[in-house]
Amino acid sequence: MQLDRRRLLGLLVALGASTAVNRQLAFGASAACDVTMFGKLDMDAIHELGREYLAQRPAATEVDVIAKLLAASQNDTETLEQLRTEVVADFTAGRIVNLAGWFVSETEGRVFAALSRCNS
Amino acid sequence: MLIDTEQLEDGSLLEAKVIIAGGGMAGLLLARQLGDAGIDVLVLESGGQAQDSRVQSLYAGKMTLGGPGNAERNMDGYLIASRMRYLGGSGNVWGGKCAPLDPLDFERRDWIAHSGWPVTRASMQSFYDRACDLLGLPHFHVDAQAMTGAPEPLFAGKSSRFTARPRCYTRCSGAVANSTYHDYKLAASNHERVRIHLKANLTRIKLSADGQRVASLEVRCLNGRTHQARASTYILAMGGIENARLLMVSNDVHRSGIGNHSDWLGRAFQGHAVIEHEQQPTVMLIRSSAAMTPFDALDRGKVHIVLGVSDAAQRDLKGTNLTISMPRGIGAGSGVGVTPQAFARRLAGSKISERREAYFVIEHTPNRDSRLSLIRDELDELQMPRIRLDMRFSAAETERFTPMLTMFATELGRTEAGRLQWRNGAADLVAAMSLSRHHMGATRMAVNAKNGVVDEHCRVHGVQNLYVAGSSVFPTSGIANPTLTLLALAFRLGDHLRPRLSA
Repeated sequence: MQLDRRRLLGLLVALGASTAVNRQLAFGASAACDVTMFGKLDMDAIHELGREYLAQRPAATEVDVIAKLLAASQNDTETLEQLRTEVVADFTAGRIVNLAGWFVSETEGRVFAALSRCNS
Repeated sequence: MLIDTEQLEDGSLLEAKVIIAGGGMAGLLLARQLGDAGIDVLVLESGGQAQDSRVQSLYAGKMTLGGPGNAERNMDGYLIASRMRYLGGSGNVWGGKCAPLDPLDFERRDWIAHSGWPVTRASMQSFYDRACDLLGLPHFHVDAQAMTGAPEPLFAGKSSRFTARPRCYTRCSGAVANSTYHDYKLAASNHERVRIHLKANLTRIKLSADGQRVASLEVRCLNGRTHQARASTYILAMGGIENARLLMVSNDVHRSGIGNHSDWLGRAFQGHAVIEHEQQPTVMLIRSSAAMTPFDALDRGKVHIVLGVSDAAQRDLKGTNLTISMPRGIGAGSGVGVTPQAFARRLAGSKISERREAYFVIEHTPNRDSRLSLIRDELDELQMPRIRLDMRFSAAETERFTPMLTMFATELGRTEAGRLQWRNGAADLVAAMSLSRHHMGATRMAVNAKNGVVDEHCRVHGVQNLYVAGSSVFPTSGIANPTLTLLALAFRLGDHLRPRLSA
């Protein structure tokens, strides 16, 4: 998990984000809650999936890292590609979690969890 | 020729060179085979030409279904509903799905207790081909690509864990429109060398005093008349449950039943279980709907594929056989039913996706505790002890199912082919099972009497003139629907018997 987190922090650096990302952006209701990069998503469903992830991984600090990544994103295409790489790496390494019956990668679960904090 | 046995005088003697007990798919094929060789054959069929509830009730018994850590299910009704007792047998309601067993299914797998056949997949090929010819099917190849003309499309060569397994439907099955099964029955009943005695119930096999030969059969009718039947060779072809029941009931000489030298008779009963759940459908997401066309099972005349765990993956994981069928697309969903799909599609940059109904079939491995036994104090109308089936899945299935399913989900994600939805855990497995009508293993085949009931030629160990046909001889059951294999074995048995009986 630690290795995983370091890799995510590396992503932040690669994206040009400061490690002192504005916490309001990361955990508040603005940039991190801008889900347009993911297309049309059912936010009620996202909340349900995110809550389930947090229930299974209550100490998952990597969710914070993902939230910062999303908040710091200045290029949707690059961010999506980075997430895609992480997701494939998760599946390859067997890092998966079952949410509402869906077998998803840990990274997907963390994104759902980060997004579920919006408006909550 | 069809004969109403109830019309015969009480105490009649029925004689032929060969007597086959059971007028189902295997029995009728063997009758034709031997008849074609000029051998007089007599078939004893319990029912008439149509279903009769009184006859069908002879199948009644008790049944439970269970597995470690799972709640036991009472399934008494399955014993009546899963088979048919009239001319044509369960072929009258068979859906017609055909597939051979996989090569690994025949092999001894050191991680699966009691696995291994005395025959190989390669040695069965010619018999499978003849069974396909009989059923109007293309010949099955081990390699699905040779049949479909294309590689497995979902993983497109990116996964060594799964492989395509071919399947095809025949019209020679009672449950389909424009069925040719009536002709199948006529081919036996009109055969000049074949006499089919309807309403003739085999109730006891009488052995010689030394127990090494069948001397005669006791035949009873529901009108109270009892007859005797004699032949030089006898074949039981009454289905995967009744074959064992008759051998257990006939304990006059061998007290534990005929062929029961090592307490295998009735044990290792296997049945295929479809894993599904009505309230929580198994749904998957894919990137390309066009890629899924070879999985479509709507066109009965066309070969379709299912995904199977590859032989290499089974070896690596010390797993069991498992298939994933994705026969049709399902409509759009909403909420959490589709959101992970939408998210994954966005990440993968895919513009198309399809939701597919999916179901899983797991191999039921040989388990001595999964067994048939007699209820000695409950007799049917013919004074036969009723049957009890305690069908048991073991840790081999319950503990391996989730890891293998997770492997499928992992491969879907890793190759960006899709996502899988399956909510249930190992403790819910038995509750999610929908049992097929496949009854296998209770008179298992083994070279040595220590390990089975019949030998590699399907002859009952220790009895010179008694053979068993049908899926009860399967040592292991793989995933494939058993009919094609039991017909292939019937061809094989016919080839074995013909020169011996003609001499």
